[in-house]
Amino acid sequence: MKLRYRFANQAVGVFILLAIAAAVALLVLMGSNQRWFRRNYEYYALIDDARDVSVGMAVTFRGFTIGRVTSISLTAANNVDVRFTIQEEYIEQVRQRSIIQIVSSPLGGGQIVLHQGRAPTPPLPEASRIPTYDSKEALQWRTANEVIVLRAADPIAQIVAQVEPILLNLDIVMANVVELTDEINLALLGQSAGPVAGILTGLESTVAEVERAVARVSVVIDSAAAQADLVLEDLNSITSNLEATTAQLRDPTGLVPRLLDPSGSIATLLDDDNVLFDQITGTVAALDLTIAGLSQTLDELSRFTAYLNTAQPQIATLLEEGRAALNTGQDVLLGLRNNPLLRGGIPPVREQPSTFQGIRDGEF
Amino acid sequence: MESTMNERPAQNETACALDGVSVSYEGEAVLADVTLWFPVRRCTVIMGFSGSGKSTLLKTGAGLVVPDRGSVSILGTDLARSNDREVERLRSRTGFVFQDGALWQNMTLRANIELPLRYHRPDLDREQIDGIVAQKVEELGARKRLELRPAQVSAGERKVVSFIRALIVDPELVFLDEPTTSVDGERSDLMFRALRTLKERGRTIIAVTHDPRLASQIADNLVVVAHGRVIASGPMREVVRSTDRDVVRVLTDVLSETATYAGDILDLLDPSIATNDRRPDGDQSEGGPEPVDDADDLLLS
Amino acid sequence: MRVVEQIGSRAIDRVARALYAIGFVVEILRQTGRFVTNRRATAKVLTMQILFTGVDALNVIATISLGIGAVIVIQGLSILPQFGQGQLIYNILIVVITRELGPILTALIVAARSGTAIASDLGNMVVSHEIEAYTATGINPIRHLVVPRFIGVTVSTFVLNLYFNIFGLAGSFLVTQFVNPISFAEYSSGLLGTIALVDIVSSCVKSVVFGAIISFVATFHGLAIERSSTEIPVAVIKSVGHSVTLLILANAVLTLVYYL
Repeated sequence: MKLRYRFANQAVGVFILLAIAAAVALLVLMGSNQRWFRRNYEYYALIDDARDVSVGMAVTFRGFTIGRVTSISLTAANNVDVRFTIQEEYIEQVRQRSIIQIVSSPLGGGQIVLHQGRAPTPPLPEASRIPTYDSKEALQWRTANEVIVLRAADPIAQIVAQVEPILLNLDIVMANVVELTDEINLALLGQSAGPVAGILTGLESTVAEVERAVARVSVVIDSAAAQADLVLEDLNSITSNLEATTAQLRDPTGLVPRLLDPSGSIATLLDDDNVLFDQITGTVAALDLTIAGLSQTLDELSRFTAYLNTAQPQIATLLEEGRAALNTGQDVLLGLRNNPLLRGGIPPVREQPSTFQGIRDGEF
Repeated sequence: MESTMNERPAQNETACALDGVSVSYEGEAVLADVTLWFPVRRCTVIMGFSGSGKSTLLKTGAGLVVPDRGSVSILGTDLARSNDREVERLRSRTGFVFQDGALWQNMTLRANIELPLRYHRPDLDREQIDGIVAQKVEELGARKRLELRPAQVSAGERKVVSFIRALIVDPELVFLDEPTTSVDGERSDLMFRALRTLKERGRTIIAVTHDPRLASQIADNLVVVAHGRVIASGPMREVVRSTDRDVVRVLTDVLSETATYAGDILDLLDPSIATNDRRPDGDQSEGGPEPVDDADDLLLS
Repeated sequence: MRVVEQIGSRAIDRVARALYAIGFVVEILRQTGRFVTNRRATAKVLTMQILFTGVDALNVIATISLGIGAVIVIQGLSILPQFGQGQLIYNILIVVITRELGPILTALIVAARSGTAIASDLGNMVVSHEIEAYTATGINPIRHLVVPRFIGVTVSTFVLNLYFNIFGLAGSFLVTQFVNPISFAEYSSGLLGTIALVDIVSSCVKSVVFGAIISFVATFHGLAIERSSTEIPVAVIKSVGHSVTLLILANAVLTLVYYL
């Protein structure tokens, strides 16, 4: 009898057992690799639009995938209910005050980024709602610095997500600035019915608008270049200066109305013990400050544009337009300050070098 | 049928019964409306020309050939009305020796002999099985070394092994299809002895044979088949003395194939002569529980 | 009218044969149930069947799967990175080896090696009255001969498919070492991250179904022989032809089911 036949049982046993052992090992490895035996915790978020989310989308934290979107549904209140799970081993990261941010990449695919609450707390209970980045409470926590906001793994997606609303605001700002410029030009030509005070009030609100826009930009910069505080300070000082100026101008005995009022007397200017002159110099000094601040803001914006330029040309294009518009605003303010009635001559325009490079010029 | 029609015996007195059985192969009738009873504890020998349908009759009786018409019952059980398990259980009580041995080629001789035992008697352990096999092998004079395969031994040896295989489960009913063909004299004597022992123990034997010695030594009843019909059946003596021309012709022709006997050729089938000739202790057969000569109560149709 | 009659009788014949084959399969399954509860003397037949069909085919399977795994990696790694889709190599490996080629190639090899052997073996048994001998001894030939072959071939095909996967995926890793060396950890995590449970289940289901088909067809044709040994080669040819046809059809159906 051949050896093979004598050990037939053993051979068959080994043959089958080895295969089954390999299969079981594969299943176990697969299971641990694909997390079959781990528990997942479910949370949800309410968003406005399901466009940027999809089932199976990753939830990331500091670049690690920590969970997945499991379902998306429309609620009775017309919110989009996004359900997602967080893996057991990352559950500690879901602290109180954590927020999520939906980041979509123009190249397709996106992710939900979890921004962790700053204070170490026990994890959020399962099935609780996690606010989204743009929600009121998230904004509040962010401004109170209770959330650690990090740049997402995909810088393009991150920037797109953050810059979109800013661009929207900048659009409004630009429109305001253009309007303002026209108004001021008309006023200086003596064709405007409204007093300059009103124009300047408009300017003030415009700058506040800019400030708000830049506050958003600052968040980007915070993650990108950490320059937000500088910008905010600048804008704050601009605003306060403008406020002061406007307050002065609102004064019925103020300089400008009388100055520009055709019925105003030039004699008053000479007879009032330099009070009016001081007022004028004060106003001009305030304007100077404002202009300096605006100039600095433009610098910041310019730098930010440079940064963006490397990241996303389209955004840079839009910001470039915004910068140009603000530039014009600066010119207007300079023109006002250097009104030939107050001083003489317009200084050479400060030239902002264009930082925009055409899409075709660079390597994509 | 043609021969003495006796009343059908009680069911427990019938080992095997065929009732209006017809079998045809490829449209050619091999058995035509055969009705036949084989009584228990008797040895019945079926004779006929080659191609007369006797092997088919045997196989049909054993349930190996399913009849086109008619019914077959073995040991009181109608095969057509039984389920697999019942038939299987029934078969463990029967044995069948094929004309060509029909040993399982891919097994050793030992495995051939052991398999029915292992299959039907799971209660036996290795040693008990070995014991039974050794005893039967001794009894029938088969080779002691059984590790060869069927193809490696002679036809006679295969037949003996086939015989042992059929008897290994100690069946109540044994079908034999030419058991002694190509078996040498010494071994066929051992076979006859084994068959006689079976009969003495009350087993039923149904055999198809051309061998007059087998017929004369162990047969109680004789069935003569020609052209797919039973032309004579009944106790040995009656059939042998039949004056029916067909029966005489069959018996003469069949027996002359294998014998060169000077005297009355039918003497070959005379059990008294044959038994006394061949067996010095022939009186034993007369003293059995069922005397062979007391054949009047044999119920054969 | 003759034509109609002929078509009719042919159709009836076909249906009758199909019904008979279905009955045969049902009988095998019924006897398999009994075999499992009561193995007795038949266990040895099963062992030998797995030895012949499974263990003996291992070298063929190993060689083929190593080669195929290697070819996929070589072709894949030369084309995919051009599109920056190098990661897709894992998907391709799994689709080709685990889901498609593994089961069907294993089955074809088993059909060629064992299907033929079973058909001619059983055919020989019929001719030499061995089947009758089983019946006469009270041993159900379906249970004693067909069921162990059915189980043996099915188990062997299933296990051989596992080996095909092991060798195919290992072979592709070995070749990767020559083309574009990566660590085993990276390779395995890429593979394990891509393979889904459904891939494995699909592969296993396929190999079991294929094994069953091969054994049904081979035993059916083997036992369909009536008396003459000249029928055996015909039965063997028929068994291979029917096996291959049914295997390809079943593969198409199962793949379709997978994508539904």
